[in-house]
Amino acid sequence: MSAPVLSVEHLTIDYEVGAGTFHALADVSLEIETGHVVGIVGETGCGKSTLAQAIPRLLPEPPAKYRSGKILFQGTDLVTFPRWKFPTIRGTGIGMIFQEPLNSLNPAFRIYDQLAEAVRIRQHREAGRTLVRPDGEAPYDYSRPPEGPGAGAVLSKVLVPPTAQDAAMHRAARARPDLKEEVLEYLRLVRINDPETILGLYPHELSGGMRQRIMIAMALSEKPSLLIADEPTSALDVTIQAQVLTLMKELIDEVHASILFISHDLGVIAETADEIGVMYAGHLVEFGPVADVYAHPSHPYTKALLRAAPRRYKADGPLDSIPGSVPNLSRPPPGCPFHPRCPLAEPRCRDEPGPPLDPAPGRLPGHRSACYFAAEVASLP
Amino acid sequence: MSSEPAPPEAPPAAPTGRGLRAARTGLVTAAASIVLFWRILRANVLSLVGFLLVALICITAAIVLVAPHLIVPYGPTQITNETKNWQPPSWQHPFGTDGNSYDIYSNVMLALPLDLGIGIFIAGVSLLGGGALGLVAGYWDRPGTVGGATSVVILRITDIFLAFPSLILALAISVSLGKGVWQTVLAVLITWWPYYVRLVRGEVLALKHLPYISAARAAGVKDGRILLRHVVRNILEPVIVYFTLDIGTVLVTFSTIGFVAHAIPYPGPTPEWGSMISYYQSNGLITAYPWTVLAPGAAIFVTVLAFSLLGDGLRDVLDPRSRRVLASSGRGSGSVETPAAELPSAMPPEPADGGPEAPSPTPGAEEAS
Amino acid sequence: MTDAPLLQVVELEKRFPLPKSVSEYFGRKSGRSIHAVDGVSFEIRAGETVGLIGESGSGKTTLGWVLARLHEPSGGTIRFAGADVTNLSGDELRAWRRNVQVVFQDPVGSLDPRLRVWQIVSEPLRAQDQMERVRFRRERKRVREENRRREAANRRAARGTPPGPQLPLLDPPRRSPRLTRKALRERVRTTLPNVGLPPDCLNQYPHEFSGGGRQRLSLARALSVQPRLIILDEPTSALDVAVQAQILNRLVELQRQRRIAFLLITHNVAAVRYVADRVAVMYLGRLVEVGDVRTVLERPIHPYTKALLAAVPEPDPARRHTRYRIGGDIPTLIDPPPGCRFAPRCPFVIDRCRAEYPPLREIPGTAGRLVSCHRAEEVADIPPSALLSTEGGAAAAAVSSPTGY
Repeated sequence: MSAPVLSVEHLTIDYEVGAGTFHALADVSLEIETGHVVGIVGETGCGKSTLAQAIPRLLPEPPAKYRSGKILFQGTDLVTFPRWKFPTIRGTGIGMIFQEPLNSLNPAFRIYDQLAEAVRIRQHREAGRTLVRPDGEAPYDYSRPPEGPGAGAVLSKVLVPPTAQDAAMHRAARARPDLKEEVLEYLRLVRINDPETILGLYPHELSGGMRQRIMIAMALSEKPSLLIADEPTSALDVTIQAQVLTLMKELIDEVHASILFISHDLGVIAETADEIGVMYAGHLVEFGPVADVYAHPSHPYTKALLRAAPRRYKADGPLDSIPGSVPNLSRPPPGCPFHPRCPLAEPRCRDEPGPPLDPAPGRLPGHRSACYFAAEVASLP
Repeated sequence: MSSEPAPPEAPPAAPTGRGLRAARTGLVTAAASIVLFWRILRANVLSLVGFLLVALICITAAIVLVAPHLIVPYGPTQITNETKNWQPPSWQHPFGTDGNSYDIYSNVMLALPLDLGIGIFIAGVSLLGGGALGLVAGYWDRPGTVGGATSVVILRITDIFLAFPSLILALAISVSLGKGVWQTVLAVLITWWPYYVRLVRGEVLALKHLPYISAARAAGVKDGRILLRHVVRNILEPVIVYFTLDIGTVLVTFSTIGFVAHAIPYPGPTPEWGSMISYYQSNGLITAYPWTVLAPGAAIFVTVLAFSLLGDGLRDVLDPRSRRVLASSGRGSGSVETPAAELPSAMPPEPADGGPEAPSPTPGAEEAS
Repeated sequence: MTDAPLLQVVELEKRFPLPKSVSEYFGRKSGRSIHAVDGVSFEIRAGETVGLIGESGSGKTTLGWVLARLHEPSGGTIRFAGADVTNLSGDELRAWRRNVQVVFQDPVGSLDPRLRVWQIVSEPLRAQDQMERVRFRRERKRVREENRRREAANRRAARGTPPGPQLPLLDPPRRSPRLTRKALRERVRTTLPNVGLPPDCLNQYPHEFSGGGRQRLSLARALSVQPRLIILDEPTSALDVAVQAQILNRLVELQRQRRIAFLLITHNVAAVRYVADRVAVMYLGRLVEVGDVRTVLERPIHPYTKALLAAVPEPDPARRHTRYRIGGDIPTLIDPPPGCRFAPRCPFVIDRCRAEYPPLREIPGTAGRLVSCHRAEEVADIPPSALLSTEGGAAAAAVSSPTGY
C-alpha cells in the first residue's frame, strides 16, 4: 500500500462570527490513498464544503479558525504552512473543481486563455520555478540571486525600448504552438468534440455541462496530486450530470487521480467513489469502502440517509424521513451529535464525549464508524 | 418575547379595553425597537458617533429656531465691537469676528437650521417625487401597455435632466431665477429628483422578479397593494441609506451654489455657510484671518460627516438579517427546522422564540445543495 | 378517476419574443422568439397529482406559470372546471386565483423577508377577502339596478300600461364581515399544523426558518384559501434528502385529506415517483410522454424518458462500472427546427424524426399512454438500462449505433 497523498488528522475548525462560535469541523480524520477516490456525503451545513475548502487553505481566516489537527499533504502539514506559500500548493498540488462553473471561470477571458494559463503555471512549476524561453535558450532560474550587474542595471535596462527582435520573441512566446497543442489535448481528454472552436469562445457561450468539462480540463491540466471536486455535478441537469459523471469515471480510470469528491447525492458518490465518508454536524461519522458502507451501514445516520432517498410509490406507504433537525452548530448537542435524532440513543450517547471513529465490528477492514452501537445498526428497520 | 401582542386566546375585551391593550402593545413594541436600535448602534462605534452627531446637530438647530438667545449671543448683522474688527477666536467670540465686527459663531449657528432644513427638504422632496416616479417606471414597465408608455415618458424626461451636469444646471437655473433662498432651493431641486427616479427604478426592477412578488400576484393581491406592501418596504433600506448620505451631498451642492453664485446675500438676515465662505474668501484675507472661512467650512464638514456615518449605520439597522445577528448576544435558539408534528412524542418541540438562524459565516461555508 | 377534468389545457403556447434586431424592426425579417411552451395539451383531474418532469430549459416552469396565469399564454386554451380562463383579467382573474395557488422553488426568495409568518400565510386570504367585497359590491349594484327596473315595471303595471303582474323585488346581497387581523391570525394558526409547523410561530420572520421550514410556510400560504389545484414548482429541489422526504410525505397526506389536485413540476424523478398519480415528461417545450406513474417510470416508451431514467444516479455502488451513452447538449428553445426535438440526441433516430414532428398519440395496448415518437412501438420494449453500458460490455453495441438494434 502506497503512502496516502492526503491525511487529515483530528482537524477541528470553528467559525467565529459576531454572535458566537460555529463548530464547523469537529475532529475529522481521513486519508486519501494515491489513486483513490474518496467521496464525502452529508446534508446542507454538515461541514463537507468547509472540509473541501479547508484542505487547500481556501477558507477565509477569519472567520474560520483552525483549532487543532493536521492536514498532511504529501507529508507537509498545511495547517502550519506559511501563508505566502499557499499559491504553490494550489493548482499543481491540490486542484479544485467547484459546483458552479460559470462563477469559477473568468467571464472576460476566452477558454483558450484560461486553459493556457493553467498549463503555463504547471509548466512553470515543473521547470522548478523557471521560465523556458521559446528560442530554447537555457532556462533562467529566478530563484538564484542574479549574477553580474546588480538590480540597478536590470531596472535601467527595462527603460530601453524593445527591439524588433524582442517583440518577435514576445509574440512567439504568446502564440506558443506547443501550448495550444497541449490545451487542445486536454480539451480532447474531456471529450470535447470541436476543441478548436471552443478555444475562441467565452464561458457564457457554453452550456453548463461544457463549462464543467472545461473546469475539469483546467484542473487536470495542472496535473494535481490531489483533486478536490466540490459538488461538481449538482448544478447540472440529470442527463448532463450523467454525461459528466461518465467522463469523470473514465478519467478516474485513465489518469489514476486521487480525488476528494464532495456531494450531497448518495447516488453520485456511489458511482464514483472507492471510499465514502459520511459527515453529520461537522463530524465524520462513518468512513469505509463504498460497497461495504452502502450494503452494511454501521452508523444510524448513514442508515437513515440511505433510507430517506425516495424510491417508492405513494401506494407503498410513507417515505422514511429522519425525525428532528440538523443541530445548530453554534450549540451542538453534548456527546454524539446524532443522539437527539437517533433510534438507538441511550443516556451514554449524551453523557459521554462523542464516540471515536473506530473500526466497525464484523465489517471489512477500513470500515470505521463513530457509534457505540455500530453492531446493532444492522438490526434497525 | 415581551414584544409579542397578547395572545388571541384571551377572552375578548370590551372595546375600550382592547384599545388600551393595543396602545400598551404599541408602547411595548416601540420600547423594544428602541432597545434593539440602541443595541445595534452600540455594536458599531462609527455609526454610533454618526447617530449622536446627527442628534446633536438636530437638537442644536431646534434650539436655534425656538430659543436662539440660549446659544446665539449676537444677531446676524449685529456689530459686536466697533473699535476692533477681525478679532481672532476668543471666549467671547468662539469663531472670532469679521471686518464688520459681526460675530462668526452666531452667523454659523443661525445658518444651521437653514442649511440642515434645506438639505433635508431637497433630499426629501426628491425622494418622494422622484421615488414615486421611479416606482411607477419600475413596476409598470411592460412595453405595449399604458404603464409601459408612462414608464418610457418618465425615463426619457429623467434622462434629459441627467444629461446635464447637475451642478452646472443648478447654477444656471439659480442665476436665471435670481438671488434668494427659495430660488436656490428650487434650482437644486430641479436637478436633484432624477437621481431618485433612477435609484428607485433600479431597485424595483431588481426586486420585481423575486418569487415573493409573483407569489403575491398568484394570491390575487392587487398591484397597488403589492407595490406598497412588498416593493416599497423592501427597497426602503437602500433608499433611506442613500437619502441619508444624500442630505450631506445636497448641503455641499447648495453651499457650492451659494459660494459660486452668491445666491444668498451675505452679510444679511439669513446667513448660509456657502455664502459665508464665498464672502470671506473673496476679500483675499484668508491667510490673515483664516477663522472666517474655517468656521463655516468646519460646519459643513461636520454635518456631512455626521450624515455619512449615520447612513452607514442605518444600513446595518435596516437589514433584518444583520439586525438579528447584531442584536443577539449569544442568546437564541436554532432555526425552526423541527416541525412539532414530525417530532417523536417524547421530544418537546424546539422553543420558537425567534432566535437567529445559524448564519453562514462565509459564503463558502454554506453548502448549496 | 372518471371525474371531468379540473384543468384542461389545449395546444397551449408561450413564446417570449427576443429583442428585435434592426432588420427585424423594419420588417425585413420576422422577429425571433423563445418557444418555451409549444403546443402542450393535457389535463388534471380533481384530486390527482400530475408530475411534470423535465430538465432545465424544457419549459416546465413556464408551463406552470402560464397555468397559474402568471404569464400570459401566447396561444391555446386553459379551461378550469369547464370554464375558459385563458383570457380572464383584472378582478375576475384575481378572484379566480383562489382556485389555483403556487408554491415556488426558491425557499428564500418566495417569502417577503420583511413580513411576519402570519402576514405571509394570510396574504392570499386577505386578497381573496378583498375580492369577496368586490364581488359583493358588484352584486349589490346589479340587484339595485334590477330592482329599480322592476319597480318601474311594477309602477307601469299598476298604471296598466301595459298591464302585468307585479314582480317581486330581489333581496339585497348580504355583506360578509371583513376579515379582521385577529381572524386572519386565527386562520393562520389553524393552518400551520397542517403543514407541520408549530402554531405559535406567527410572529416570526422567514429568515428564522430553515429551508424546509420556509417551504412549509409557502405550502401553508397556498393552502390558506383552500385552492382546488396547487402548482408546486420544484418544491423540494433546494432541500436535503431527509427534509425532502418530510415535505413529500406531507404533500401526499394533504392530498389524501383534502382532495386537492397537485401539479408537481420537477426534475427529480424520485419525487415524482412518490407523489404523482400520472406523469408528463417534457422536453424542449413539448410533452413527449404522458401516462400512469408506475408504467411510465417502469416501462418508459419515449427515448427521452428512457435517457432521463437511465441518467438518474442510483445509490448502488455496482453502477460504478456503467457508462452513460446519451451525448449532446440540451439545445436552445430559440426558433427550434421542425421534427422531433429529441432527434439530435436520440439513439434511435431515423430521417423521418428530423423532418416531421411526431404528434402525441395513444399507443395501442398501453392503457392510455400518450407518446410523441414515430418509433414508439419499435422502441417500447427497450429498457432504460440499455442506454447504459458497462465497460467494454456487449450492451454498448446494441444501442450506440443508431440503427443497429
